[in-house]
Amino acid sequence: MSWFGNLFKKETTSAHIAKDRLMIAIATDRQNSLIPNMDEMRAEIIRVLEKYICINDIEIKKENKGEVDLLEIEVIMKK
Amino acid sequence: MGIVFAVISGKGGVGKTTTSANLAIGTAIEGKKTVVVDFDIGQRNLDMILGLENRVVYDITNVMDGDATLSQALIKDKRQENLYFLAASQTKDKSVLDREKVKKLIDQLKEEFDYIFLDSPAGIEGGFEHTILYADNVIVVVNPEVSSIRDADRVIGLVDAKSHKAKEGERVGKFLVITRIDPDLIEKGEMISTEDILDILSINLLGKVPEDKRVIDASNTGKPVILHESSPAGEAYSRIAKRLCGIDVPFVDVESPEVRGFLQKITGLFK
Ligand SMILES: Nc1ncnc2c1ncn2[C@@H]1O[C@H](COP(=O)(O)OP(=O)(O)OP(=O)(O)O)[C@@H](O)[C@H]1O
Ligand SMILES: [Mg+2]
Repeated sequence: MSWFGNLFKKETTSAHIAKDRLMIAIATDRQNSLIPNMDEMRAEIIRVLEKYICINDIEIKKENKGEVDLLEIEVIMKK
Repeated sequence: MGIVFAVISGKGGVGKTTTSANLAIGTAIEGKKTVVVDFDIGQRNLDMILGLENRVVYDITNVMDGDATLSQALIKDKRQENLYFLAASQTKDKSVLDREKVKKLIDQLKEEFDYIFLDSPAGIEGGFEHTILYADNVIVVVNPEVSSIRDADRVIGLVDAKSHKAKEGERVGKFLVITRIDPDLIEKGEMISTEDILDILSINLLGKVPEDKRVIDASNTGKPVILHESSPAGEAYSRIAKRLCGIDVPFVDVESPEVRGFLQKITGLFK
């Protein structure tokens, strides 16, 4: 097939659709895959906090606020 | 000191074991003292692919548990000088998932061998983590297909987080092998091209392996394709093995049918 033919074909082939879908899916995956060693980090944060306060649980969330990525750590304390 | 290559993928059934077997033979042919280890604990597979299933006496778990020495468990390939194999155990023993034992084994292998290939199980837990733990390089195997590519991205993201070397601040080499490429489908626009895969994944290309019916024949007979005459996949693996040994082998276009046929003839001439 000529490059000319290719030019038109590219937009509609299933391979092209696959690439577009993958780009979006992977971008979302990367965004959502918090910190790779999440469990370890979580356990360590809890250990440190417990030295000073009585805690129930912590919740860790990663958020994208435009320019920056935000890591939110919510500490739920014991009443 | 040997170099450790972990062969990983995320998604199962993409060609890790096939890649491990063929690259190990390829580097052995290039003169490197090579060992290939089946890390797919509980699902021994590589022994069949290598045609060494009748020679397994002790396995990786026996060595890690101290029930056999490494030299007792290593199987020397009779056909291929420089090639050794360490089998996975057939049962999944929890003691295998012990980092210290894995480290001890890898350290021992690094003393004795130039190249060490670790064939990882599918998934991203247990066995997978242990193959990348002490790896110097990872070889990510991918098929030109959406779920395989997506999973590859996930494992690439996990490598630095789980690798000991990366934690020490050193760089872990990451290389991509695209396998089961079907030139006809790519031509028709029905299969994602290498170019597109490299656009999506941030990783260096190590090689491209075409779909090849002989891979099945190879596993039937226990003689990997790299040892077959004029097998497109075998030739691709041979090129990749050379690259791993520092030989500058140009990339061959395995994607367009005409070019492939033409180049096959040419490479055939120089063989
Ligand atoms: N280049 C190829 N051409 C044709 N078939 C292939 C090719 N590479 C691998 N295969 C086939 O794909 C299947 C899976 O290969 P293999 O066992 O190497 O994958 P794997 O990633 O190790 O799987 P698992 O995740 O289960 O360990 C096998 O049947 C094999 O014969
Ligand atoms: Mg396998």
